Amino acid sequence: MVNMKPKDSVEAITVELRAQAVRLWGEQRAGELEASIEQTAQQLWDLGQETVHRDLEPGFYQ
Amino acid sequence: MPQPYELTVSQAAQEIKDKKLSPVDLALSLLERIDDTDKDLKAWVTIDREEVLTNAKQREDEARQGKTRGLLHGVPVGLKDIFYTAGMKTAAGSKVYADFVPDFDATSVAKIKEAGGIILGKAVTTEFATADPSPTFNPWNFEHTPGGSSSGSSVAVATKTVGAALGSQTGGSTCRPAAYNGIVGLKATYGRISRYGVVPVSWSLDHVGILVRTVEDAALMLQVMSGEDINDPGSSSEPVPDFMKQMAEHDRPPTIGIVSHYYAEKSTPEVWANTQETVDRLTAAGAEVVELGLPDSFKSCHSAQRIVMNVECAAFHEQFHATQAEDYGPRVRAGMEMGMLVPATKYLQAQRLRRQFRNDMVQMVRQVDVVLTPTIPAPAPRDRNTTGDASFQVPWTTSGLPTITLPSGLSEDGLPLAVQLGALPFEEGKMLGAAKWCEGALGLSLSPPNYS
Repeated sequence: MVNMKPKDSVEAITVELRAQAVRLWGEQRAGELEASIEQTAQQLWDLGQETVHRDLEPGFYQ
Repeated sequence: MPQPYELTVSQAAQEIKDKKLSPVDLALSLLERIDDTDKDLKAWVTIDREEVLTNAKQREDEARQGKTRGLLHGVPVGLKDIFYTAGMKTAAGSKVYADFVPDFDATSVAKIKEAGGIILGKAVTTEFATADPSPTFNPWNFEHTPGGSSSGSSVAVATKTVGAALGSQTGGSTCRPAAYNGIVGLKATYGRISRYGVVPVSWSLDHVGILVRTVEDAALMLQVMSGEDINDPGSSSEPVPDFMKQMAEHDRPPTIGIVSHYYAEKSTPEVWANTQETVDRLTAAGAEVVELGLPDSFKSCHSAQRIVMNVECAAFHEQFHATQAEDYGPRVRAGMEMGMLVPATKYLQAQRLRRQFRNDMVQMVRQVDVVLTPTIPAPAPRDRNTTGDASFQVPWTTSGLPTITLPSGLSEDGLPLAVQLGALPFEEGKMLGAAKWCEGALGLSLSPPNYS
């Protein structure tokens, strides 16, 4: 399982995602996914910077 | 006297109704046009000529007897190859779906048929409507991408091998290729058109898209396909108005909101100059223009869209991925694998941020009739290994608000430029009226020089 805290750095998120990719698909595939992992880490970090109102439920079907 | 293939959907429907045009002649004209162009353009993937001509003959017989099935009686329509068609292959541009033949029509396809439309064939899509480029060529310049993922549908409409084609939009897959090819693209409010029977990328982001050459045709196609569908859990029960009537009522100078922040910074100088020139022309014609500020939640909307899309894509493809991962293209595979890595809490936070963003967008758009931005930050890139940049469409897709793109000129390199209008949820009628007025005020109709 990926273990992330709300305010982790992009680098810390990248490490977690890469480790999970290695567990799921091995070192070679994880290496091929390096650029995608870095982008995803950045996206997850972006989300972590936002504070949502505690009463706000997810959108799903808009 | 134009050739039948040159007619817009509205023109063709009217001429058939008036018994001035035979549906068979129209179908033959389009099929001949496809024969003439598609060896080079590669916009079409499946066409059943016999079925097309059988249906055209049936519509012709009905028209002769004064019988009309509906707004599209006798008019052919193209479908992106992710729309289920009973008995016709729906391969989604993929090896995984290479032999998939659905046993029912997508709801949107069924509605087109009910309205008298004829399915001309299936247009090329990028693999599973994502980012691995399709083999389709941009008719404006073969060295540039046609955009995606609705690449075949957009090119088919731009080169007049069909008057209307369906696409889809999860990020920017309808309005971006429409802009790159110089045509009109419409993405209605989320829930307005059923997604049932459309191969999904991401259930909560996917929209059915409309690709046409005029705003009037966009309204007509929207009228045909709108409405609640119990088979689509995201379908809306919002009543379907008379879009043509609403469009006519709102065909007057609108109050337009302009958003400079982000869009000016991210656009090339040429694109931003074209946008400003477009706004100046609309102002001169009578539009009122006000500057709007983007909500704070805008800054995370692109990341939220990507996380939601990748996770839902991963969920849909999980079983296929377990046994056929090698059969996927590199980008769609990487995207779904990224989705498999995202914790559930982060996916849900992304969905919460989407809701906040939608609420904030509604507050922003409420101040005006429509919001205008460039559709694309730059003309179609000179790179066939990309489908282009969807960042200007993503806010409209993520929030589920309706948007329409119109041609706004040509770049120095002779490639189409475009602006998009966005509106409040379920106010497509007002948006179409504003778009029709803008279309008239700009007086532009683009056509690729070698395919005019």
